Amino acid sequence: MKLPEKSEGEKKENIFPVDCNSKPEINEGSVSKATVIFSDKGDIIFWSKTAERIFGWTAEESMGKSFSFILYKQFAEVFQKEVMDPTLLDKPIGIAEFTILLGVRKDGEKIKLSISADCWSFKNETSVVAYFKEINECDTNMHKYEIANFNLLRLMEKNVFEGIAIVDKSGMVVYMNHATELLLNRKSEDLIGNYFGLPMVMGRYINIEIIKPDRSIRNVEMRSAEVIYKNEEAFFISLRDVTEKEILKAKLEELAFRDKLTGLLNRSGFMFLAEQQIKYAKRIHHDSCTCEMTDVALLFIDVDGLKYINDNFGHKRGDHLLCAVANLLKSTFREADIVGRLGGDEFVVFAITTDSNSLMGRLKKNLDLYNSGKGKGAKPISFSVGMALYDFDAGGTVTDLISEADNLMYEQKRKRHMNRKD
Amino acid sequence: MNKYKLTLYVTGKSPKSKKAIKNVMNLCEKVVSDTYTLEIIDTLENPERAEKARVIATPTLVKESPLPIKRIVGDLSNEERVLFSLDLSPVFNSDLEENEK
Repeated sequence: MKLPEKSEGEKKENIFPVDCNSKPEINEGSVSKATVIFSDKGDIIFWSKTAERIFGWTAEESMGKSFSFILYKQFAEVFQKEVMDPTLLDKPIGIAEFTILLGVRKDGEKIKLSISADCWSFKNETSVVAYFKEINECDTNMHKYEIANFNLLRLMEKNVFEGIAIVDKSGMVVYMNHATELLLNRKSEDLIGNYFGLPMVMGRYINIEIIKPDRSIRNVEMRSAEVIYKNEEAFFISLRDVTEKEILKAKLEELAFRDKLTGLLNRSGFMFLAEQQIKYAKRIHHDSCTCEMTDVALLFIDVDGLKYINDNFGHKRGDHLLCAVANLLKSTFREADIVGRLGGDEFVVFAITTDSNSLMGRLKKNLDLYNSGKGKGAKPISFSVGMALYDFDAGGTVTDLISEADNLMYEQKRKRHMNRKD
Repeated sequence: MNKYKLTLYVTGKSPKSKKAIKNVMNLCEKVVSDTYTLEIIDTLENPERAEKARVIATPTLVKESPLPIKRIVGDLSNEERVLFSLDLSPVFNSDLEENEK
């Protein structure tokens, strides 16, 4: 919890040293708030000159008295509950509260008081320092407004899950909420006054990595806005941990774009990447000043005999065959080429190459190598292939290219059947 | 003599890190060419350096010299904003505009 900003008057009354054993010297010339220190039992152990002026009691008359001495009964109960709460007293960062109470002067006159309080160590004892200010009707409304704002801020600080930090124009952290402490796994006192850096993002979320003290990395979305904070230009930064979301997203993408059996891209993944590559190839083609143009080739591969193997040897053997084909394709083509399984026994390869003729040659060579080196009992791989080249003048989509390559593959398959019959 | 000493902190060799490195190198070549040194610190390989510099987020780009030290974090692709925030000689902005013409 952060303390409310102290006014100049408060600062002046706040200057006496903690744990002092003598009455502190306080210049009360411009002080409008009365400082009164209570022991953890609620007895007055320090009574300032402003307190003398506001309440009319001297320090000698007040020392050792309870807070009920200067407050109306029902307000003394509020004070007990709000300020002297023993569960709050041992909090190292202290307590801070704005409350309006009804007090009583020595002459019996009622006075409206605003009060803020803090936890202190005074004369080696835990104590509460309270600042009383006499207020009029106008002040009352203003204080109610301040209280509402302050309480809202406290609620937000405790309950907002998004990390909020404010950095000044030099990039130095001047404020951070509790969620930021949790997110960074660092205490605010370690960071406030240190440099985070100027946020290079405005009005949208960007992803950054946060390094925790244990050196683990979290993916964090950062957003910032230019604001005025304490009359100075500053940046309001919100931080949201998206590590788990990113992992889930990657998993979902994997599930959406990968063929589980072979590890190749599935139809969706292949289509998505191939469409991107066609756009890229078109741009190169358009920008190219020379006639030396690369080919965009698509190979459609249909594995022979899968149904036979599934029916006669079981699906496990069929799956084994599909994986063998996938591995063969992966080892044949470059990493930059796109290899996918459309489904069943149909595979596709998309390649941007300067030598499309070599693609079929490489595939045949590797197929022969595999079949000659396969182990005993392993079935040879056999497939039919059709290759289509993208026509930049006619245009078209990946689906058109697949369809053309598919037709060419069937043509090859038909020819092979014819040759066998002959 | 190099006028600007810059240090870029990234995390690993992720596409995000590569993009940050590319952006900074492009910017430096374009704007402060031949007058800068750029050190790239991978916080995974060299966590002590990041800890010493109290870098808690990446990508972070620090202008170590000339003083004052300036530090930015986040999207380093907006050249104008990066230049302005790091105080990299505003005169270069006009050069850029001249080049664009």
